[in-house]
Amino acid sequence: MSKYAMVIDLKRCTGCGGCIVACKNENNLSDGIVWSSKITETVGTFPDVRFAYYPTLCNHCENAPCVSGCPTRALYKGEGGLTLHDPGKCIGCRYCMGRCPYGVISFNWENPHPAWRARTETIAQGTTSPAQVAEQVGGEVIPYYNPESAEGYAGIRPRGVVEKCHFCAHRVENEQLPYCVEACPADARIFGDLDDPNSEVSKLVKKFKSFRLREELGTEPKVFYIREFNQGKNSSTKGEV
Amino acid sequence: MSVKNNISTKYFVWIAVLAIAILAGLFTTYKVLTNGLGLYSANDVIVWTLPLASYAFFSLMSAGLAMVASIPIVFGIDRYLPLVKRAVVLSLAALVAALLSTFLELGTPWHIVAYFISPNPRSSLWWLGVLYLLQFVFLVTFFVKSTNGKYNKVISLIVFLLAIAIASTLGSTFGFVEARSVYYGPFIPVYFLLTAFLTGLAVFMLTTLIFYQITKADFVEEVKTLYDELGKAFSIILGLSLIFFVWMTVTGLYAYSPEYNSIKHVFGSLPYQFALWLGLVVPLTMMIIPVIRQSRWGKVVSTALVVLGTLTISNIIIELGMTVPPGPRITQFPELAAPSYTVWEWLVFVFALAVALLIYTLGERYFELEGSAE
Repeated sequence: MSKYAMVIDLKRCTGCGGCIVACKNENNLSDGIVWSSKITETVGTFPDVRFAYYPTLCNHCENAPCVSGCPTRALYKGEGGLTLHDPGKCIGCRYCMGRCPYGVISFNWENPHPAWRARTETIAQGTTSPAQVAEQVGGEVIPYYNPESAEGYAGIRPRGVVEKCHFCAHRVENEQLPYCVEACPADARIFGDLDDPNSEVSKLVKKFKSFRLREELGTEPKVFYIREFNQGKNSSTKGEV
Repeated sequence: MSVKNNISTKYFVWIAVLAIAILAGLFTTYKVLTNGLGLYSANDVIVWTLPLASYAFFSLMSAGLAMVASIPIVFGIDRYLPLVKRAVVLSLAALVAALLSTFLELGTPWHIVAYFISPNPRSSLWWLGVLYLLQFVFLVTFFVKSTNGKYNKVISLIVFLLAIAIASTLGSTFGFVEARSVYYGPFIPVYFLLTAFLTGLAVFMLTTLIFYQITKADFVEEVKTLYDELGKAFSIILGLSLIFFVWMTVTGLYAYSPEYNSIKHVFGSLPYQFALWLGLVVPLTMMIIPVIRQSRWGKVVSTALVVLGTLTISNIIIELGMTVPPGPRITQFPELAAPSYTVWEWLVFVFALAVALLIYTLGERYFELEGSAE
């Protein structure tokens, strides 16, 4: 039995946001829905200022509060410890959003991709409507629809249900890396099996002091952060009184 | 005394008002089911708004009224038996209003079948659904038996225990949320239990006193004594609620954790000040003064204020845990998010209230809700 995990190397991460865009494309995310996001912090005042960037996503917690709280098992633990979601069972109560300590579950407040559903021409008598564009290229709602994401999950989640990162379960099943990992230009995201001592994630977690978000809650997140980045320099001093 | 002998213009006007409110509610239901919850002011930080507060308010009210209905039978306080039937009907009416509010609060209510085919006994929310189903069945049975003048002690006890379970389990759905310190802990389950009984007593006294006023029914000395006693019990529960509410605030104001900034934020707001002063302090002061407590208008004003205060407090407590955005949401939302309700959210509350009032009105119209057991 695998236990999938992700290591995020903060020294390699440039904060380009490529993972966020890649995730949106791979999983056909609607406007306002984010599975992969980031926490940015700016601390201090110039010249003593520090900027920090932490990419975020579902932590696929071993003790997932969203799973234990979901009244209908719409959220459940799947193969490899992935926290998965079944939109067909989701009643849209949003209790998982309340219970998630990480703010990484989104709700479809309206029909997804409303802009692409419009039937009015973008420029009257000059262009087609967004909906026609999507139809002509054979997409489903959106012209850039990725049908692979529909393998084992809804390709586009309907209005009234939650959705979240599933570590690209459709890719992992086919022995491919999650798309954010694949797309990261700096190789800052490393994915693998934590139960395999020879996997890169196991080695990195042992080699570097790592931290996980809100560890004190005991949720056992499966996203580890290593090598926290700080470009500041300081000279040797003992301070003063 | 039943109103069926006193059908008047006022009655038809009342039914017409309720019908208009229900029609507006049905239109709201159509809009919500076709357009989705985007009609509400909720977002990915403030995930629950007024419809959920409405649900919590009616749910606690129903549990409290079920306690009022069952206590005389469970504890053998026979002089309160004449009050039982009205309390049962009010409890049923409030339960329907709660379920209606939650129906319009769910993103995909038609998936509710998953409650039965894919149950999660680890979830307090799932247990809450089971408890509502049981309570509905037992309240109906309780009512049917009581209309025949038979008060079954076992059914009363089940209704009483279910009421306690519902109020505290509803509290536990918040109390189990470790991710949000403001919710987490045993405070909310206990406070909701207290609030349920307070709201139940308040709604029962308010409704009955208004009924007496409208129907000009005789307020005989025996009944007056009962309501004076209820007034004393109401004062004690009200006092306890005030103590809990004040300590919740003081604990929040005293805390350094940024999550408790929501309490500091809400402390200066108009709803909070309304709930504290007009919803708790003023009615308690009125109830402490014997002349006001014993007067009919004193009871009507203080119970009405408490009912409005409880609705406000339900809303405040639900919002408190969500005001501070979690994780990456802090970069997408203000430091302290706050909703401003849309007209659709208010219509959900009005719809639920109107349906509850219609059920109660029909109950008074077609059943003899006041009487004693044979």
